[in-house]
Amino acid sequence: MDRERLAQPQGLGRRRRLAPLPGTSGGGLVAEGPELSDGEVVRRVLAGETELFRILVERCRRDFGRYAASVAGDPDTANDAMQEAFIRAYDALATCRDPDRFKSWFFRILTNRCHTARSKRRREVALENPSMQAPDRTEHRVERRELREAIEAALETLTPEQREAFVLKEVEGRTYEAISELLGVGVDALKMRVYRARDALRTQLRGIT
Amino acid sequence: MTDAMEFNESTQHHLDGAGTPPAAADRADVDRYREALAAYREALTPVSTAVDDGVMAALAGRHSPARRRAYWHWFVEPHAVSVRPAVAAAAIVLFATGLLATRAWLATRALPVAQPIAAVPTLPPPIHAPDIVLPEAVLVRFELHDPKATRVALAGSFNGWASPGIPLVKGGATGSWSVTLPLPVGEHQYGFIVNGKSWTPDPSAPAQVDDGFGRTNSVIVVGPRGVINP
Repeated sequence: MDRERLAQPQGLGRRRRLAPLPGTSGGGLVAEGPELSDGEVVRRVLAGETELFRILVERCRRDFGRYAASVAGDPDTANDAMQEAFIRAYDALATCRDPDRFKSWFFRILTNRCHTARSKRRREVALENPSMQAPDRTEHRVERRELREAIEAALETLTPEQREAFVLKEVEGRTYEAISELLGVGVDALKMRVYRARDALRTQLRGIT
Repeated sequence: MTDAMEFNESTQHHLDGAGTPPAAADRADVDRYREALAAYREALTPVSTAVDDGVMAALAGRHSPARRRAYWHWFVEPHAVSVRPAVAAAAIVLFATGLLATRAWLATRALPVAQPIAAVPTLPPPIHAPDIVLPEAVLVRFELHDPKATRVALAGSFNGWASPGIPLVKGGATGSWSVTLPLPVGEHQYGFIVNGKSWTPDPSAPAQVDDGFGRTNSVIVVGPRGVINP
């Protein structure tokens, strides 16, 4: 393999290189003057300042990191789903009709990636040996694990819409109004989804008492 | 406790934080519910901050997202146009003059006598090209299982073998490192850089090749639908 030749520019025309490569840290971008709104960042990325996309990545990862972990089902799957969601969002950024509501737009992409990843993972886990998990030894830990697994089992029985409403309300602790703003769904409909999810969890908990 | 699996409405309002007490029949289940939620939240690992670097490295060298918009959005979006009055007046005069001149020229021409049309030739049916859409890039996931590694990066023909490479994200306690990259269709050679120095070919790659410098590179072939396994 001729590395010298491969290292040359590959003649792909005018390309923009994103400045903050690994190890060089993009933290300085966030500290640039007064904090930019999401809409301003999107417009500047579309205008060519592509390195500012890191600001959106940091904000969304901070806001939706726990949500992604919960909906995707495990940390590895969540990391992959979120990374893929950011790449898709970057490629489709020009189609974001309301840049000031970027987070809501990105949230839909992320949710779709998480649901897809969760389904794929569920098929893979079904083929693996469940006894590979490290055993919890103390009685307290066993109980905590059972409670945790009851939630995970309940999440499996929910529709995607119920699952996202339940996670945002009960796991993330957001208000119905904030969830309504994020999802574009009415508060009453959200309450019904959360109520059904609670009932499903109650059923699961009855099974271990 | 009640046999019904549904929480009472007042209990649901209580869980929503309304301040009303839960129904008496639901109290034990409410406590259990809260305990389960606390255990679940406690065990939840949010997405790693290393994803930020992974995303930005994966996007390095890609086209600006605005380029795609520039091709067609210009035609459908409103544009502000500024015109100098003198230029506008001149343009109107020029247009009007051209219009009058054209009419005068047409008036001087004798109109041909209409002839009956014997037959209208039948045109062959239009040929439609198939709608072939080639993807610009395909998302490919790279993974290395190495619990002892402190950091793992990826270098290959797709990033010009640039050092220190594209960082992989460690997933939980499994010792698995991964990154997802958009790659163009075609053949790519690559390898992992473990702890910043140790060149490691991908043990799960479908092919390996000697690079001529004493090292082994892994090889994958990316097709429009993903990695092609021989």
